[in-house]
Amino acid sequence: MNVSNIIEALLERTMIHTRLTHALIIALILALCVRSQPTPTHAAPHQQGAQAPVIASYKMDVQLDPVAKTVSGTEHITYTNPSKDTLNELYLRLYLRAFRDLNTTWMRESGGVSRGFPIKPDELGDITVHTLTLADGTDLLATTTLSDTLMRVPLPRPLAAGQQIELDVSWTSKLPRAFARTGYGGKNDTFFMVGQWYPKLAVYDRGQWDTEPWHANAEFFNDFGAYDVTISVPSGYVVAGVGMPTNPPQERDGRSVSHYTADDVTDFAFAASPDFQTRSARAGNVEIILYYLPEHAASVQEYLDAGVGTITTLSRWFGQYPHPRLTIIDVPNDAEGAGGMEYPTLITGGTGGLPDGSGFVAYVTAHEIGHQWWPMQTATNEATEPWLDEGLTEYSGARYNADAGDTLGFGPFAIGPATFERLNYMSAPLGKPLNQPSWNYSSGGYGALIYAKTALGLWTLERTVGTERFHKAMAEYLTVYRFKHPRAADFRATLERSLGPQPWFFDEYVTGGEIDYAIGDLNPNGDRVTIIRKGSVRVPVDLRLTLASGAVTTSVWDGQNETTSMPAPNGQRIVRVEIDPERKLQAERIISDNGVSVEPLLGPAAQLGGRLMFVFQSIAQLIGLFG
Amino acid sequence: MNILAAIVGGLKNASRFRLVLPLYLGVLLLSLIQIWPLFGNTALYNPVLGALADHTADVFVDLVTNAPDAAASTAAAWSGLTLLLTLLVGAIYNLFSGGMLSAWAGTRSFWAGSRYFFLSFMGLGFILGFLLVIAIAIGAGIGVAFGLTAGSITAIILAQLVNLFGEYARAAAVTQNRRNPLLLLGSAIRIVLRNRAGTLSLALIGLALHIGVALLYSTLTNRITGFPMTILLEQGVVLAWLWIKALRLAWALSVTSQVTVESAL
Repeated sequence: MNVSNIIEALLERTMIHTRLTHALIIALILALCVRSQPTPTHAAPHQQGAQAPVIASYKMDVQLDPVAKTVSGTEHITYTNPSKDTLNELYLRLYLRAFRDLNTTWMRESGGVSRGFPIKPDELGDITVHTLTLADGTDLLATTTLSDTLMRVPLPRPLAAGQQIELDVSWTSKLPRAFARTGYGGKNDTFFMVGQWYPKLAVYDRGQWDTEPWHANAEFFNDFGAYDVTISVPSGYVVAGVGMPTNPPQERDGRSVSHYTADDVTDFAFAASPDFQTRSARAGNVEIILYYLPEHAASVQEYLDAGVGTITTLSRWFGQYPHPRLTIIDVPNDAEGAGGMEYPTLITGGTGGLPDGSGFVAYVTAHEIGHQWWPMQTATNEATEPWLDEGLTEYSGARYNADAGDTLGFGPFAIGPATFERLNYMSAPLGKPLNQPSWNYSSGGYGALIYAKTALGLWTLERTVGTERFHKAMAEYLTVYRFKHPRAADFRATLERSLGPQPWFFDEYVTGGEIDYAIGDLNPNGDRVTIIRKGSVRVPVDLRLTLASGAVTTSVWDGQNETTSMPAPNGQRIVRVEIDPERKLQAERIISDNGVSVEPLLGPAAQLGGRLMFVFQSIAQLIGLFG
Repeated sequence: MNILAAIVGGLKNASRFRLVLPLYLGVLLLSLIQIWPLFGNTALYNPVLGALADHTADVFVDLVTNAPDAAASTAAAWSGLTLLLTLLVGAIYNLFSGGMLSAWAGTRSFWAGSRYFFLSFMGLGFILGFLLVIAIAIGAGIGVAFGLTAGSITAIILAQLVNLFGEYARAAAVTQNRRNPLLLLGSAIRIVLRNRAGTLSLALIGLALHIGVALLYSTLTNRITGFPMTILLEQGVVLAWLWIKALRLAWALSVTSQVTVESAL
């Protein structure tokens, strides 16, 4: 998520490229797939098979107070020790403590600013645990210790491997004004996005608890489980939550009570607003339901088209989306801090305050839906290995956008997804690795590297091995690690098992290398050409030579040395050299030095000149012929 | 005023297509000056030219992001040259619009009319430019108070009105044989206000024609590819826009002629 830096780059530096015909065809196909419905269905609590290990499950009963901006309630946690170790303590994550003052780890790292929005000191968030007991009533709260966003809970009795423990918690969450994925805003502050809001168990994985506090760049690392959540809001409010509602909201004493259940998920969040309207569509067996605000009615079709297209496409590429429903939440313009976020079966979007047709909605929707594969099915740790989460997701969303013909920007200034990623990548410092913990990156560097550089690297890998092979390898990764906690080594091992060794990607590109090739020299006689590898990444590259006879030869240079010199084949004269003519190396830093011709290229120059003439003539007529 | 007679009269005058050609050739020559550096550069040997011509955004992004200083100085030079050449286009328009109107009215030959009204129309152009700035400022003020849409609509309407006054001022110069730009502008405002329905209808028809050509271009540009068809299409569009501008002047001449005759009667 966290797309604001990317969008800033978009607004600052947009330009040419439309794929109108392609986009129209896709839009037509999607339009045939999309079916509007006036109201959401309240299906039975059906899930497409409980497949994930049930490690941490939550039964909650909570009340939203829109005036006090609080959510309070109780939860019953059932935790099964997933390891072979005996546990003597648990850790509860209290994320909203990150916003309790300006001295938390999160606030120090971010400077109190998220996506360009500063938090207001008089509108902070917090969470207070009132009671914490075992199911038999044994108090645990008295012995807990708090540190930043973590609560350490010593256990009165050790928890053996595979053994289950049940906890009861009561608490109150104070929501901030929409900030860093959660909070309130909108018309009269009646929109609520309730995320990272309840006491939640940390993950015990590979012999240790994940005790990193919540960092500003990072998002989350969660265990799978089942959720059963009852939400009470004032009458008139519409609620949208993770999973499925079990029945229509019940009216009780001036309040509306909703009940949601979800299996095979890692988290729960919900949104509430009296202004929500709904539209839905289907992507095969998956119902996509959009909760939108009236002021964004013009974006409804873009949301639904992107939702249907992304679910359908990524299911085909990587493996089936495993839930019966996906919920999309539209956020108000003044609550963009809560937009562009992913939860299991639920994402938040937003228009970015841009006019309809900018492509922003389709971009954000595709990205957040990509998260439904990474990490919602492969529950990686975003804090320690963010590229496995945001990077794989950015690749997935951008690839869907590219296949759908989506563009960002308006008219002649619209750019395609690959160019958009390149714009971001170009802002990244050179030589920075992808495999660092999230807290080692600046905010801007995190977007440029973890999102864009990873996406372009995976895109390059796809194009060098072939799209079908690559997507099959990704599908294999998902099959092996679905509902587990894979790490980068697991990702590499699975991909290389399918694709063969890819040292240029895993040993060189991920660790900080850059891809860059250039023409060194074309002998004026055209009998020899020198190619230089300027980047440290030794990825094989296609070289195309055009000979004086008109014949074209293509060869592959392995890039192992810093230069290569190629003689003209059969003693013919080389008239043109092109490196990577099919643009397989999407991650190449500089592409304008990838070709040279011994003859002046008058045709293309005339074509380009004609274009520039037209631009000038249009401007000149508009101004010069005024009056 | 008889709007049908004005439309027919204007079409008849504007059908003398050769009178529009000097203006088109002037614009074409200035645009060639603008792109000439492209043909004297080492870039002429780089295949990225083809990618740029094909609207491949990647290459453009690459050029900008990898040499931002060079890109900025090139953009600044291109913008400066564009401004200078646009002013020259304005001067050419001020020269030839007098010739076209004089030839249509039969008061002077094309070249004599061009010379006779040139300085007057240059003065008129400066006044109109000043009024345009005021129109934009008013639009901006309304935009601040009532939102971007309201401000933009206001600015566009005011700019169209100033443009209309300019056209009628040029036509009035020929029919009334006057050259004082301030008096001409006053005369134009009177003619437009006293014949609101007719003049505004003709202005809207002209505007619709301009927009129609733009829409036709946006439709065809995705279907017509490659050199030289793209250039032919774009130059056709430029010529069409110029002709529509000439048609608007011809309609203004028809209206001012009618009004002048009615006043005399």
